[in-house]
Amino acid sequence: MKYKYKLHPNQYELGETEQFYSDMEEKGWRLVKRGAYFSKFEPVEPSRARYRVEVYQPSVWAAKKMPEEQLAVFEDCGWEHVASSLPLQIFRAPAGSDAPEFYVEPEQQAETLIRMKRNAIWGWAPGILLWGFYWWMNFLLTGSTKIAGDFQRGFVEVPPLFFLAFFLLLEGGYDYIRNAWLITRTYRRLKKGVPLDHAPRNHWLHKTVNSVLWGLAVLSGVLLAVQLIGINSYDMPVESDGPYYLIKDIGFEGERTGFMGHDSGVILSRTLLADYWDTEEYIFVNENKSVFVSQDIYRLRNENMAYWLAGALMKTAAFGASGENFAPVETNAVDAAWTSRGLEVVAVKGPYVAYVCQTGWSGQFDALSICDALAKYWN
Amino acid sequence: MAEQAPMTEAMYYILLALLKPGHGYGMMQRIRELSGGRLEMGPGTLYGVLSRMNREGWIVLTGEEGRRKNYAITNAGKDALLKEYDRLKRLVSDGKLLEEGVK
Repeated sequence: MKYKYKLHPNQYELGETEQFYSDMEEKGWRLVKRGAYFSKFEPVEPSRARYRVEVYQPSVWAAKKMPEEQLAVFEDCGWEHVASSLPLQIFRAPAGSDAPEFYVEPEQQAETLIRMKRNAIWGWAPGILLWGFYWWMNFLLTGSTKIAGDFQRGFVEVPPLFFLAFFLLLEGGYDYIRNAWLITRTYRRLKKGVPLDHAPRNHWLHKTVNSVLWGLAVLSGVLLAVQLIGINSYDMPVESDGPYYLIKDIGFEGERTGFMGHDSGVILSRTLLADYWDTEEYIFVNENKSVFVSQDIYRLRNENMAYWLAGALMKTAAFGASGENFAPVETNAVDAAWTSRGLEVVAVKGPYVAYVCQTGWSGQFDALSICDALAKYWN
Repeated sequence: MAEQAPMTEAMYYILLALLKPGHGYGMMQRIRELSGGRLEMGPGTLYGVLSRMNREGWIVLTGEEGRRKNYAITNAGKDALLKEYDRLKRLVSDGKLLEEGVK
């Protein structure tokens, strides 16, 4: 048999859910099963039918199935139990049957929504608390400056990830507020004695907002996939093929090698905001001397972001951020440069921004020669 | 002792119907008869009220026939029903004024 699957209204849209299944049956599709997001339909002769939902939201410890006795009462009255997807129980009766409406007193139906309403409003609390705890611990362990810097860097390095997270959060927040409002409104109306609206009008505004937010989230996901697929990772060439320097440019010659499982290499990502080279180079000079250079080089599409990004690189520097601050370097080779302990250099020139960490057995390095080496590739 | 809160129409008729023990669907049919067809009890209302009155001790489970459960009214339930009946009688009695015409 050929089944059809369709996205259904969410659990807080009670009247909409009833109307949705009635409409489907009128089109020749009868509900078989309701899942979390999709409903399964089987083909039937198109007919008119009444669908009604009963909210059965058990407590955490209670049985997850509607009591048999309750089901029997509904079925005795002419209501066929078609599907169950907690907290909704879906019943069906052919149009024109004398199956009575579920509630003669709407206030009684309001009682069935209390737990659902509480879950809609407070259900997110544990997640939000955990999330808050995570960031609080993060803040305590790394400090707010480091976190802010990580966000700034991340924004330049993987912008679609930020857009994706932003739109998903926005969609989640919107859904949360709307669902809490929907169920509270339905509850209040029932409590006042107004029966449930079994054929509500279409929420075109909600559908538009939802579609736009999901559309933007999907688009961000696609952009993220494109960026990730486009990442080019390769062994470090003999000559620099980008705006990064090689150790030999500052006067050290030796055998290029690897260190702790890492080979000398380049990872090039092209993002919406920048081209980004992440390099690592190791050379073995002699038994007493090895040199290691790690570079993060950005060629920004918008030059105005250069100093903003340089600030972020200093905040997140491996050594400088957790110890001494960076001090300016007097140089004409680049627009501006800062160094920390002679281990790290942050430099800016036009659209180029670099973070360089250079270490070796030979001790500290000269920040000026690093700036000169970078400038050679930044013209 | 605090005065008993007024019953809803559903509670009143369910207790009335349970003067003769029965199961859910039987109660609904009986309520229709008792009210002369005026009151059509819905299964949602019926089940909600039964659960509540069971918790309050006004009705008691007397047996099961397959998925169906039979209930009967308890003495506490009868007292509550009588109190409500008295209250309703007083309301009607007070309203006789309307038949005599307001002077």
